Amino acid sequence: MSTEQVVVVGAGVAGTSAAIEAARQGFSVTLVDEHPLSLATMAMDTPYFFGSRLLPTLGDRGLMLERIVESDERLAEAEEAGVKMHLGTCVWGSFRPQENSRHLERPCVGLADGERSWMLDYEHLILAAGARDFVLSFPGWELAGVLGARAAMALMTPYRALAGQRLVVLGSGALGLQTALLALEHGLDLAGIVDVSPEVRGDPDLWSRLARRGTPFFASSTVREAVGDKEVRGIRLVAVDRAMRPVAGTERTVPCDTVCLALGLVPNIELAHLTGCGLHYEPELGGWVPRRSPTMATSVEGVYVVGDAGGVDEAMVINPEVACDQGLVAARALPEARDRPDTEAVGAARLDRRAVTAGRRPEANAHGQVSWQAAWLRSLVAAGGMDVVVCQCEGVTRQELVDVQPPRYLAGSPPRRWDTKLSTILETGSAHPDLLKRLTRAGMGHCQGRRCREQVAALLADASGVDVSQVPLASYRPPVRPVPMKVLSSQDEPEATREKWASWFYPWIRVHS
Amino acid sequence: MDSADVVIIGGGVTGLSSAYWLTKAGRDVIVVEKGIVGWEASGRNGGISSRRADELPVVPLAREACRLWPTMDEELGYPTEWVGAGGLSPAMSEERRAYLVEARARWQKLSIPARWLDPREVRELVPSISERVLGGVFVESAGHANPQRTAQAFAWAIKDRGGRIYQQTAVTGIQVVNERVTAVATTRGPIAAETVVSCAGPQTAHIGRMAGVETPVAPARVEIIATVPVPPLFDVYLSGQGLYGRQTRRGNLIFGGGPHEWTDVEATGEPGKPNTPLIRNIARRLAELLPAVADQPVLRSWAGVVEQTPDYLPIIERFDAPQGFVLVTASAHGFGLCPATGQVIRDLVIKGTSSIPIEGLALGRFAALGTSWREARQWMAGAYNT
Repeated sequence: MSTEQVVVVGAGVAGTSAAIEAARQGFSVTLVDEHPLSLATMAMDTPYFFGSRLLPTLGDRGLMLERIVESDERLAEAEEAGVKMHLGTCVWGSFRPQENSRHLERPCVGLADGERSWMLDYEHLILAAGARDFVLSFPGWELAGVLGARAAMALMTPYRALAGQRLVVLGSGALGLQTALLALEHGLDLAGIVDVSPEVRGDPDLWSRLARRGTPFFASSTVREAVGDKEVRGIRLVAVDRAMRPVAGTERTVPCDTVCLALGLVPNIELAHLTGCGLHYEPELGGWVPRRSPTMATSVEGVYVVGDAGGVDEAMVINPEVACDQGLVAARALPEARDRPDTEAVGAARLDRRAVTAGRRPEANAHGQVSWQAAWLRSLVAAGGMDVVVCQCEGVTRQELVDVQPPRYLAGSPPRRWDTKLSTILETGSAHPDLLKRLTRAGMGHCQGRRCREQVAALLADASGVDVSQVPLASYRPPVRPVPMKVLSSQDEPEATREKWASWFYPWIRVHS
Repeated sequence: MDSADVVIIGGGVTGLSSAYWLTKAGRDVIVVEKGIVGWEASGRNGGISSRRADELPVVPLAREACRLWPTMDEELGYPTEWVGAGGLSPAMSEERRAYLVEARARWQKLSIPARWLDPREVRELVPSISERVLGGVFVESAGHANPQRTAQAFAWAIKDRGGRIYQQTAVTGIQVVNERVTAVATTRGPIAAETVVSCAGPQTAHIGRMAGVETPVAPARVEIIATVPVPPLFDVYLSGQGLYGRQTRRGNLIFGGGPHEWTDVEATGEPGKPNTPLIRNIARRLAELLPAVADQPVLRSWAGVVEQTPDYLPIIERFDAPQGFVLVTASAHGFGLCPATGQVIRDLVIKGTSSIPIEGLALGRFAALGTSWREARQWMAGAYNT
């Protein structure tokens, strides 16, 4: 297999920018993007929290491919620059020679489209995998019509397949405000924006555009439940005090058919993690992010991370130029790139995200991103209780999680009273979500933990009395997207592999002796 | 100084099972585990408990294990997810069919209940299996369980009975005075004990050496894939099409197989366990074995590090020198055997002998091996599929 010089994962702003620049620098470049996603993948809430209202048109691959290409003229620009494009193709794995994998000859990534999978060796890897929805649960969150902001925005543009008339947005940061504005552009009614904070958190200019249209802001409020039969009919809100406790008598039901969680974005670090990049916890950038140099280089030689996948905050949500610049910087940092990276010229000011928001709304930013998300969770637990499902795939409630209960299908009949085993997890020294996962099954379902990881970590932190940054990162494993067996299959397997295959260590001894 | 009757080094299922049976028998036991119990191979394996029919010295141990498994949920008081529906080895090639026919006859002579099934009978047992199946051998009194849950069940049961488990605690030395074990040095301080049992898995050589015992083991990394939960297809474990695996109670298909990579491990710390593109080859074989569900997604994969002895058979021995030192390595089959292995260790510690026959499993069988045995077999770290 030949080795590609530059592989870019993700054709968003940062990835496309990196790919075009690398091609202009004379590199041979392959750009891979998983959009258009298959309906089956979206139905597994991958990679965004799409929820269970998905229009059948999403199953029309040809139509969706057209819409993806139309929605971003930079894709055509990339093609013209000589970038090899693989759309509708996910990158499900990243492998490199290391202790315990010395037989691998060179680093490679695993790709898959709807039909087949294949490996691609690379010299340089630029991960621009974006970010996904930060999800918290509440009663009724499984109803059709509840989805994440990243999902809602993708369904509006480029898929043009958001089925909904009347939207409530949870979260008043830039993400929520932008989602609300996009919804208005697409002709949806906006029933309001809800936040536990007393004031709108996000950019004042964005808010004023919404306020002008009479958009209600439900301040200091949280969600009791989403109501409806199988579809959302409304959302019951309740006011909260400064300790995030519901205030009696303040409940109200807001009619709507769509509830959008805009509580934050989580950088997609799966591939960086698999590649062995060092990570650290950056609360203001969405949590765990790769450690990077000013030229976007990670701790692994030849591997760069750009865009939201390296961390995303309010400034980056508002201003796509930051991601774009990161892509340029990485491409120019590639060894043998003709233009050497000149951080100052590219703009320390532009790369300094804080310059955009600092000084604009100091009160809102004093309540940082993670503490705001923690406040939301506290308010939801106070309003909904601990018997609310946290892992929808496996049906695990908050209480079952912190009690480390085995799944219900293992209950004896009658079920034994279960004494909480949380101390078991805590006494290991560092409450590890993987252990909690394996015993309760939270995070082991088809969404690969996308809808519950962050809440599980937060609940574990809370139960252990530690900061969420002290909870170890739950593992990521290939494939980082669900890939059908027959697609993942090595149809390109060499004869030598076939002949010298042992189911265990020594079948030929057994067979021939 | 901290003290116990028995210190068990290693919190995998072998160590935990030993600790459980010893605690139940009234001994004061401390398990010392460098990380988290059941974190390594014990929590990562395929979950199968078979009759080990091709490995004569292990047959009695495997028989006892398969007899004990159905009683373990009640014994421990926590679920292991044991399913005792037996095991099926389907033949997908003429070569394998010929081998299985011959093997079945051999196994039957060992009093292992092994029945030949023709293709129709195989399909009754596993309707989703490939049409290319040529028949297979079905062994009753075998089955599978959930590795992680089993390890944790043992750990909770040990503590319920007053045993102690020290996690995130590494053993740094074994004190031997006048050819007797007297204490274990750990990162939590020394523990005085008359009996020390090494159940250290891939770290066996390191731990054995602390007591002056050289143990030939070679660690290796193996891989497994897991699918989404699918509707119930079969209860038996499967061994065929180059794979071994099972369907969990939740419904996931969990299968492994294929090339391993030899490696080395440190005495402490967690060995790297990356997956490789091999998961595609495993997926291919699973799709070939169960074509009816080949469109179901693979959801995750993982790898584990196991240790192999030179003849792939366990080492179980209570030493005369140093006295009080017992060593066991299950040689990559620890999970399936664990309920019985623990009882063997209990008996070796308390009585000095095992009521389950373990002839042929003593360390002394490797006396003439020499120090370069790994090179001779190409089992050095980095060697692949050898």
